[in-house]
Amino acid sequence: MESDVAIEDLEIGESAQISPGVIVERRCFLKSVALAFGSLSIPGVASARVAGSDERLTYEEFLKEVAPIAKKLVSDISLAGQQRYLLTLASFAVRMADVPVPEMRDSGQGVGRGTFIGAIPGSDPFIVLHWKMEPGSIIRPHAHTYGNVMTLALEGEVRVENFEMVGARDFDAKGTFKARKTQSQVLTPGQVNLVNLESGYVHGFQAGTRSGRGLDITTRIKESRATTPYLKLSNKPVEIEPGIYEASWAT
Amino acid sequence: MRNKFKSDPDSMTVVWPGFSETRRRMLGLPAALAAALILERAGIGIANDLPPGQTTTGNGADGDGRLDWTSFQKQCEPIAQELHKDSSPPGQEAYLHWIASMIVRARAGEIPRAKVGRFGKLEPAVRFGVSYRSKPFFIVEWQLEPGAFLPPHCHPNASVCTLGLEGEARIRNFEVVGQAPEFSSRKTFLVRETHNEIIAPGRINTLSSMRDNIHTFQAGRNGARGIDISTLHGPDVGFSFLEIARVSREAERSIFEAAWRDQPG
Repeated sequence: MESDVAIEDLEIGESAQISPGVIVERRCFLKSVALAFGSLSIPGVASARVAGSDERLTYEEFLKEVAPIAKKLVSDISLAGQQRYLLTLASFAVRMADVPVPEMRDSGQGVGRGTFIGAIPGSDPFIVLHWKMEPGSIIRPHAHTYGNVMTLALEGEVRVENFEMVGARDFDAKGTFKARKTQSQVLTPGQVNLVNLESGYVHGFQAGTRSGRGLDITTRIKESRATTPYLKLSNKPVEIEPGIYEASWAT
Repeated sequence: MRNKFKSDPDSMTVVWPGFSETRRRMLGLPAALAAALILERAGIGIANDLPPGQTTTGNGADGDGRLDWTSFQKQCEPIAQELHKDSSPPGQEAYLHWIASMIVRARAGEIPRAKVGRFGKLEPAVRFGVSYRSKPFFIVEWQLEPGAFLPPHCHPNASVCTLGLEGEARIRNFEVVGQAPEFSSRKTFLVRETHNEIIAPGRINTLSSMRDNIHTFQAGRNGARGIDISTLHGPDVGFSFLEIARVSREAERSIFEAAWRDQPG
């Protein structure tokens, strides 16, 4: 059973989930906790939903819980502001149960076939894409120029890599430039990868021997571009320890 | 599993690689913290863990959205304490992302500094010390000289949220493949590199008791400084350092041979 409640109205003996996984327990300090949360400037914490402690959020519940908070946090587009925004989305998303797979089409971003994508209803300020990768398939590294991304793995396993230009970013750069691999991460169900427009703003995916499936929650925070810059990398890094590659943009 | 670095519960406990403190002191903390929070809620700052010149009082985020330390404490800790009650994999993930989402807002200059000590005889030097103790986490400040290397080590039953503050370091995370022997064993086993990233100011790396639980740091040419926010999600069973082969055994899956080792230096 679930119903919206105000924390301050809870009686001792009641329990409520005031944030994903945050359960106010049936104890005497409840009032204190409620008061503590009430003093926080965290949108969404002022209302709560009664739920079991190990209960997972449905996709609809996730949207309902996180969207009001996302709206409040999205305006800070600094490195730290985006980090906070994306990590907050993540703290809710990891509590989500599996999400139904929508009708999908070829992603158009793959090396060959085997990568698929489909949109599912999002909520202001973000859109949600559901993706699927067949074993061994690759999504080419591509830059996110106007929308940051919180990727959540739902099934299987994929390796995700993030890159950024060395020095100031320039998505119109002609010829070669230096790019740095900032992250290489194995994503398994429940894990997240973040694309912050101020760091690691290029990401690419490779499925292993198993297929992979997940969500990209994308939030536009800058003016959109007509085309997506794809990152072409030298086969080997030109400087091994800093992980620097020679690179160029392609379409 | 036999505990290699855990000491007598009544005397010393290792709380970070090579760092020990008395259990008695830890047990005395919650009451002190509660008192501190009450005082702070009343607007009375405390300065036990802060260097001279830093203040704990403040009204929260300014126009830039950054938090002073008192505001971080007030906003982060009550919810962290609630989230900490769920130690399931999603529960730990939610906890870690919450902590991370708050610490990235803290002004770097407001994060308490530690009195650091040198770790072993590692060259270049690695230094660290506890900069803040709270419930459910404590914070260790680490300082790596240019090129310094902190060998891989595990954090059983714990999560760690690492925040870069100065310079750059490469962090590599590993997971045990299959079953690992006891810490006292010198038998080899397999680990998989699951995460490899650059940590720099404002960037985060996390590990939980379920994933990425082994980590190692390699400082860049200018050295690095940062903090580890560490939390136990189960009993303290100690930890161990590892020796990990330089060359992978299965490059495709990033599998390496490894063995537990004594504390370096």
